[in-house]
Amino acid sequence: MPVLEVESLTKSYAERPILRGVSFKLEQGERVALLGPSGSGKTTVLNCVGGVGRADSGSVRIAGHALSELNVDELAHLRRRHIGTVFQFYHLLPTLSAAENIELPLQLLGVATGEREKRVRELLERVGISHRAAALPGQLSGGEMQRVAIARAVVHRPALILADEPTGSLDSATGTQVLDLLAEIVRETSAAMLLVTHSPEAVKHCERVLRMQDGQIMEDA
Amino acid sequence: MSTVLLILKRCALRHWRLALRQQVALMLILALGSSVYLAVRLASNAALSGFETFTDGITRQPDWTVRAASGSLHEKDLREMREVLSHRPVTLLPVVEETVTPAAEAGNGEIGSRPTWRLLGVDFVALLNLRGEAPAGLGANMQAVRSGVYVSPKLGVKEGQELKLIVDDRVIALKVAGVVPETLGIPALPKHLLLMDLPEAQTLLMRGDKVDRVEVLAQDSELFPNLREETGELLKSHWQVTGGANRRQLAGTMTQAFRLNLTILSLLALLVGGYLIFQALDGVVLRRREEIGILKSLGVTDREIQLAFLIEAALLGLCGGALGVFLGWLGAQGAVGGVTKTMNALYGATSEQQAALSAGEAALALSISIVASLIAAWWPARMAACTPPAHMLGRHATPFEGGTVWRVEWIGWAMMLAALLLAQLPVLRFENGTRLPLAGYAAALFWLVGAGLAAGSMLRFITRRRALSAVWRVAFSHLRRPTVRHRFAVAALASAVSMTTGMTLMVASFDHTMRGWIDRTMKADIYISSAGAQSASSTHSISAKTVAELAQDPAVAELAYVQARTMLWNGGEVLVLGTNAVFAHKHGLYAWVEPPKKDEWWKADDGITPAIISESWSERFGTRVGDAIKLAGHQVRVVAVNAEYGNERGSLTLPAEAFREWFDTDEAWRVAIMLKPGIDAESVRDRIQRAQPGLSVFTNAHLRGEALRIFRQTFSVTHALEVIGVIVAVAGLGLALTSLLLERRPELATLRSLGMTRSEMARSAALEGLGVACSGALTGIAAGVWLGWLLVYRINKQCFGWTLQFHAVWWHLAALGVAVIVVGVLVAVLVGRWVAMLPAEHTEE
Repeated sequence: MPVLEVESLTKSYAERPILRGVSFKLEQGERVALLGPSGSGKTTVLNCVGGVGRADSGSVRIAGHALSELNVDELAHLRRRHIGTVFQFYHLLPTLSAAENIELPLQLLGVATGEREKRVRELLERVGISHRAAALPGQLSGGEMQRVAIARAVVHRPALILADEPTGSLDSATGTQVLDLLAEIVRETSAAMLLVTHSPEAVKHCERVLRMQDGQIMEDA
Repeated sequence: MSTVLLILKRCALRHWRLALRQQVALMLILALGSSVYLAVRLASNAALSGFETFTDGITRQPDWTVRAASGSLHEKDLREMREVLSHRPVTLLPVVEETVTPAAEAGNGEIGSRPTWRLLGVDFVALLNLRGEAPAGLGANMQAVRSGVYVSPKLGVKEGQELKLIVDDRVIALKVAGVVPETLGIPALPKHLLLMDLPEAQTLLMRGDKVDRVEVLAQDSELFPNLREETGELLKSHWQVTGGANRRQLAGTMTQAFRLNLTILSLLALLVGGYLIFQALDGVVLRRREEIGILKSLGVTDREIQLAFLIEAALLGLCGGALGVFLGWLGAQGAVGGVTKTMNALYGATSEQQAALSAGEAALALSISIVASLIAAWWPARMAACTPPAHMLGRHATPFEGGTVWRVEWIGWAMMLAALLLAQLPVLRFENGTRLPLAGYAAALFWLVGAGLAAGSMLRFITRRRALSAVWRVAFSHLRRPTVRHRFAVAALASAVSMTTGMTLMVASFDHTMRGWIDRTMKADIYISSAGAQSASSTHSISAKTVAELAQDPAVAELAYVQARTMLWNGGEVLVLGTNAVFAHKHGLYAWVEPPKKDEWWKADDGITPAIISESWSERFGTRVGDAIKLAGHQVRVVAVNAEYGNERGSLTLPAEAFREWFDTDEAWRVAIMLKPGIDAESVRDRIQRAQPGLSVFTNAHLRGEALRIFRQTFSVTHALEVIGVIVAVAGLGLALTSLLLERRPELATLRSLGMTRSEMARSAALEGLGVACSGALTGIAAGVWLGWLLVYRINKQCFGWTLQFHAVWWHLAALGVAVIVVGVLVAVLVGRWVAMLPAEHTEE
C-alpha cells in the first residue's frame, strides 16, 4: 500500500485554478522532489497533502486514510501520527528549548516520559546538537535550528515526511549538510519524503522528481 | 509632517473606514472610561451643590458670612456689626435657616426616607434695600408681605393652601403666602426652599431675637476701593467670619469621606479603562504590522510612524471623549438621585439637583480621554516605530517582546518598598482642620503599580511544576518567558483585584467596627429624635416639655438625653454634645479610644470643665488628652477620647450641666429610654409615635438596622464600581490574549502541522489565560491585603480620624479570586477557540 496517494487533485483561489488534476503516489522509503516555478502550485499540493488545506476535488490518502473523509480533529490526529514536517523558516516554538521542541510530537502522542527522553537524547546526538539541547531557538544558528526541525519531524517515526524548501534560508554549505542529514535520517527511518524545492542540489538527494507547471505535473521522472 | 499626514490620510483613516465597527468599539471603550469618571464627578458635584443653592436664588453669593462661635447671633451683634462697619456701604442680611419635614409624607420608616425641605427666614426689608427691587417677584410692596411662606412653583402648591411641617418635635401648619414665579435672569427659588420674613421665622422656630448667621454683601464704591477686604478684616476681629464660598467648603469637608470613596472608585474605572485602551491600540498596531513594515522599508522614519500613531490615538481620544461626555452626562442624571439620597442620610439636607455639565467639566472629560488615549498609545506606537521591518514583514520572525525596562521586576519591588516608606509619613494639615493624606495616597499608587510590575514573578512561580502534557508544556513555556503583553495583562488584573481587595477589607473592617461600636454604645430599648432630623448630622431638638412627657410614660424605667449644638472651632464645623454622664457610665455606653484616668470623668479636678473628644476631633485638630482648649468663651480640659463613627467632623462631649449652662437650653437632641423589664418595645414605640407625630421613634433593633443600612447604602456605589473594575480587567485579559495569539499565528500553524487539534490549542490558550488570571488574582489579593491595611490604619485614620479594627473576610476574598480566575479562563477559552479556528498562516499560499 502506498504511503501517499494523490488522485486528480484540483483547487482554485478566487476562480483562478491553482491545481488542475494532480495525481501521484509515494511508496514507503521513497524520496520524491517536487519542483516547479513560483505559483506552479507546489505549496498548495503540500498543504493538501498535510491536511491543512482542502482540495476542491480529488483525493489524498495517507497510510490508507482518505483525508476528505476525516474531520478536523481526525486530520490533526493523522498528522501527529503519520506526518513529520520540515519548513523553510524552521518554525520552532520560540519558548521551548531545542530538546523540548523535539520532544513535543512525542508528548502529543502520549509517549511515556522515559521513552521520550531516550529518543530525544538519541536524536540530539544524531543531528549533532546535543550540546545545544537547552538552548532556545533564538540562541541557535540557522543550521542548528533546521537540525532541530529535522529531529522534530522524525522523532515520532512518521510514515511521511513533508519538507518545504528546507534549505531555502541557509547558505549553500550549511544547506548541503542539512540535506545530507535529512536524507540519511529519512533513509534510516524508512519514511517516504516529499521535498518541495527550487534547489538542484536538493534534487540530487531524491530518487524521483515531479515537475509542476500551471497546476499540473508535467514530468514524473 | 507631510509624511505623517500622508500616513494618516492614506492608511489610518482608511482603516477607520474599512473597519468602522472596530473603530466604533474602540471609541466606546474610551467613552466608557471617561464617562464613568465624569458621571460620578457630576453626580457628586450636583449633590454637593445642593448645600449652597438653597440661598443663592435669594441673596446672591455673599462676600462674607458671619457666625457666632456658640451657634447663634443676637440682635445686639447686628448693631455692633453696623457700628464696627461704620458708614461703609455694606448690607447686612440676617438669616435663620432650618430643615423641616412635610408631615404628610411619612416615609417608609428608614432614616432619610422622608423628604427634607429647608425653611429660610430673611429680613424682607433688608432684601429690598439690597436689591432695590422685590426679589424674584415677591411683590412690589415688600412692606406689605403676607404672613406665611413663599414657595417655588415647582413645589406644586397654590397660594392660600396650608402646608403641614415638622419642626423639631412640633407639627405646624403654615399658609402659603405666595408662589414666587421664575424670572429670567434671576436665580430661581429651589423646589424645596420655603421663604419667610425673618421675624415670623424667628417666632416659628422659637429663636427669640437670635439669628443663625449674617450674610454680608459689600456694594461697589469709589470711596472704598478695597471694601470687601476691609469689611472682612473688621468683622474677623469680633466674630467668626468665613468667605462667601464657606458653605460649599464646609459641605465639602462634611462629605469628604463619601466623595473620597467615589473619587477613588472613579479613578479605578479610569485606570482599568486606560488599560483596555492600551490593549485595543496594541491590537491595532499588531493588525497593521505588515503595513508598518512596508512603510519603513519605503523609507518612512521611526519618528514619523510613532507620531502618526499618536495623532491617530489623539483623534480616537477626541471622538471617544466627546461620546464619553454625552454618556457621562446621561449616567450622571441617573446617579445623582442615589448619591443625593446617600448624602442626605449621612449629612443632612441637600436638595436634589440636576447634574449640570459645564464647559470646564466637558473639557476635563475630553482631556482625560485624549491623555488616556495618548498614554495608552505611547507604548504600542513606540513598538510600531522600534520594531525592525524584518519582524514586521518576515512572518517567521520571533515576536517582538518590548524593551528591557518592562521586564525588570526589581522596579516593581522598589516601588513597593517606596510605598512601605511613604506609608510612614504623616498627613498634611491645613488651616481649618482639613487633612490631606498625600503620602498615603502616593503609597497606595506606588503599591498598586509596583505590585502590578512585580506580579510577573508569579507567572514563573506557578509554572515551576512539570508539564503534564504537550498542551501544558506549550502553555507553560509562554508563561515561563512572559512577553510584555503577558506582564501587562497580569499587572492590570493584579491592580484591579488589589484595589477591590483593599476596598473590600476596608468596608469589612468598617462594618465589623461599626457593629462592635453599635453593640457597645446602643443599649437603650428606645431611641427618639425629632422627625425633622432626617440625617445623622441634623441638630433638630426636642423640647423639655416633650422630654418630661416621655419620662412620665409608665413603661419607662430610665430616660436620658443628649443635647447638641453645631459650632465653628478653628475654622471648622464641629458638634458639641451635652450628655448625662452618670447614665452613660452606669450602662457602659462609652467606646474608649483613650479612657479617662478616673471613672467619674465629669467631675473637674482643677476647676476647668472636663470634656471628652471624639477620635475625629483629636485627629482633625491634633488635640490630645490633658489639653485645655477654649470653646465659645469657655475653657475645657480634654480628659478622654472616645470612638464616634457618626460624624467625621469631630465632636466634643460635655457633662449635661455644663452644656445647659453654656447654651442656656433644656432641649434634647436624642432621647434614650430604658424600659421596665418585660415590656414590649414595639408596642411602646407605636404608642409614643401615635402620641407624638413630630418625633421619630425607633426600637433598638430598628435603629441598629438603620445604622447598618445607611452604612451599606454609602458603599453601594463602591461595590458596583468594583465589579465594573474587575470586569474591565478581565476584558483586558481577553484582549491581551487575542493580541498574543494573533501575533503567534505562525506558531499556531506549526502546532497544527505537528498534529495538535483545535481543542488542544484552545485548551493551551485557556491554560495560558488561567496562568495569567491566577497570577493576577493571587498577586492582587496578596497586595490588596496590605492595601487594605493602608486604607484602614493610615488613609482612613488620617482622613477621618476613625480607628477601625482590621477585619479580614477570607471567604469573600477567596470568592473574588475564584470569580476572577473562572471568568478569566472562560474568556481565555473563547479567545483560544476563536484563534484555533483561524486559517493556518504560514502554510497558506
